[in-house]
Amino acid sequence: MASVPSLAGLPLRVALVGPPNAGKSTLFNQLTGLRQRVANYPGVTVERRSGAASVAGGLVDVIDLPGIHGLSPRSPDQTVTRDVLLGMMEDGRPPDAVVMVLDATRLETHLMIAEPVLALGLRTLVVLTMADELDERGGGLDVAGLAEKLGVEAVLVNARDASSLAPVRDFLAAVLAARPETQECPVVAAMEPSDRRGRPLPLVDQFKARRQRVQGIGRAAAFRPPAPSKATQRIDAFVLHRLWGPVVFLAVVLVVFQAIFKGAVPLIDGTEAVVAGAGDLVGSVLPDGWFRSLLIEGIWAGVGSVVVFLPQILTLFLFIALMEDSGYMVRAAVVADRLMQRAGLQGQSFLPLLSGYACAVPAIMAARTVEDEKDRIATIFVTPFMTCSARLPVYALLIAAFIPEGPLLGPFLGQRAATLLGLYALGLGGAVLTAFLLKRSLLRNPTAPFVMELPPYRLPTLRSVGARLMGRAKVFLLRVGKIIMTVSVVLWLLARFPAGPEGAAPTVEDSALGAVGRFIEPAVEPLGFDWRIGIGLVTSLAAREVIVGTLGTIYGVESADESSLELQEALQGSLDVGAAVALLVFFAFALQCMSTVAVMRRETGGWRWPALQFGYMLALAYGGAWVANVLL
Amino acid sequence: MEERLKPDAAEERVSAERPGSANRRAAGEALLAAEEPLAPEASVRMLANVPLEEEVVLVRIDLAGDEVEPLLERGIVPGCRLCPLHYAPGDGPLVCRVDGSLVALRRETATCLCVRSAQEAMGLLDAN
Repeated sequence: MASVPSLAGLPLRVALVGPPNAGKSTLFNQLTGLRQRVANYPGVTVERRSGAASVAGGLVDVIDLPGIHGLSPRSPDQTVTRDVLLGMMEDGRPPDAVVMVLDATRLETHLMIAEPVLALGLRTLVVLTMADELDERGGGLDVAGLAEKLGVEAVLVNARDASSLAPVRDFLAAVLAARPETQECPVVAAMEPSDRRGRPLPLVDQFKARRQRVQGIGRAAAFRPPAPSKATQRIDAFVLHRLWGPVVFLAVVLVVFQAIFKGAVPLIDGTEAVVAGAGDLVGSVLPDGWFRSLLIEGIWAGVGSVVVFLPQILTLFLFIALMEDSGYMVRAAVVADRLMQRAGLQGQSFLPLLSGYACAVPAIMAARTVEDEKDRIATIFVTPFMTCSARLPVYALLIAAFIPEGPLLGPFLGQRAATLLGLYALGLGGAVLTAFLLKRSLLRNPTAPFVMELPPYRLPTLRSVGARLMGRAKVFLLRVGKIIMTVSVVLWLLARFPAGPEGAAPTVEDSALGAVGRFIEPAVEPLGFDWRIGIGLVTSLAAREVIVGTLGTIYGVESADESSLELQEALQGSLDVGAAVALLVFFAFALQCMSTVAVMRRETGGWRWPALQFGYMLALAYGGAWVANVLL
Repeated sequence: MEERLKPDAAEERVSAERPGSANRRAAGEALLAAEEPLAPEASVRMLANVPLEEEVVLVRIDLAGDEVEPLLERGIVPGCRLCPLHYAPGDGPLVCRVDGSLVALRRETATCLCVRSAQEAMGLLDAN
């Protein structure tokens, strides 16, 4: 048995363990308040949430481990939990103590996880949550009897009520006060039950035996199961109804979509105005020169392009938090499952994909709600195919310039509207095809059954929702923001050098960026594009809509936007219809958004998937554009 | 060591007796299913065929090891009581009550869960 030689100087570490929807994160928020940190465990995409809890005698480092149903290394969440408890992560030492959070209203199901955790021999407190619900629905439990049977301390609390958590803080203080000088690591053998001859028991027999022991413990602790929640039954009869279920589901997703697509617009405009105003203010007090340009056009513009996503991210995550905490999210996944299964995905993938129509950045972050790792990666991979709002200015400019205004299906559908609809369908088709291919190749996962636990409906709390929004905002600004800022500054440098006479900024075509555009001209020529479009493609790597401004600068059109007639005429002069359609197809498929790449890197834990995604979408975009140019 | 890797003889016999179990077994993989001792095949049904609100007892699970573990971890173990409550729209997942919890399973999984009515199971227990 390995041991940690000395604990002197190391902070006391306590791990919160338990199944999903048991109140673990509520307890974590109550114990740590705003003193939380969010990161990823090394090499995996599992999020590490930790925070400092203040107890008598000092601070305790509390780790909120992912919600799990067992300790077998079957999923990344369970592998991380097991490794943390065994001292194979977190500086190679196990936690000083474990707080096991179980839902008292579902005691017998949740006690199934208790046995393997208790077998590790770590000092443990069992926190039984939902005391109020257990009481209201006529359930009961002898907590002292349960503690005696389990051989560890146990308390019954309502995690939403801070005043009922004193026993948890007392436990943490007691662990802090009585900390040994050295610590032994638990061993895996303790988790593998065997028969009398020492042979491992067959899997089903292990669980059957465990269930019998759990039921025995429940009887000894006088556990009286609560009656099913009447409110949950009534709401489920409506929400999971064969007819009304999809209606409710569509209404909810419509509200979410509208909130991201339209509702967040004033907030985005406001944020942009504040960032631009602050930039102007700083710029007005600085003398002209490269430093001012770097600060305002490079760094400050980079800050702006990061911060501008926040309203959409917070709006989407507000809805996700409300849906998850209320218990509706799992129901929505159940309702959407069959539809998504046809593309090889699962019900939980629906919301991220829908959100992708507004913006891929929050949508990819929302894919965290997909439990299965391979399905989550597949969801992230196909999300950028959905036609995000940044593609619209490009589509609007090119459609207005090249597609005549006229009816296609009488008064119902015009040619321009049909083109736009076709581009949406093209993106959706690309997503479905890609998901289909991925789930039959790289992300094949034939043995993952769809099993989801449906928690009772509960009212979300302001504290819990607020803590989650803060966490998401921090993750985005600190981790994704760094990458976006770096790329912004690199693009500024390319556009700024080589400097003209007396240090003046060069024109776009004379800059290093222009040289890049000329360098790639032979590559884009088969698509019908010239060097000017080539420069636009390079600058739009920052964000798709940037191409409109870039083309305006190159063609000498002041304040160009998608409705600028002058810019439309200039484009008609340098592109034929085939090349214009090729450009539309290119934008429908290409991953021209560094923010999306940055957030993919963060959410997949490395550059492998973003690199593959960028290459795959670029190849699809190039091939599609070439075919369009040749055919038209 | 060799003995540990071989499937238990009794389990191998039980698996072989189950109709339809052979085609679900992956090549070389032992079927890690178990079954309740009191289970005449005639009265055993698939969970997917049970009418809503009828309480049943799980008799056995006809799934391979990787697939069966998530069920076992959630308390879906031979001997537990299940009650189908909702069928999601468009042949979607089946929502069941399992010992006080609500669990959603895809139809494909529900067709691998063999059950008998709870009343019958109680009667068999009494008779034994």
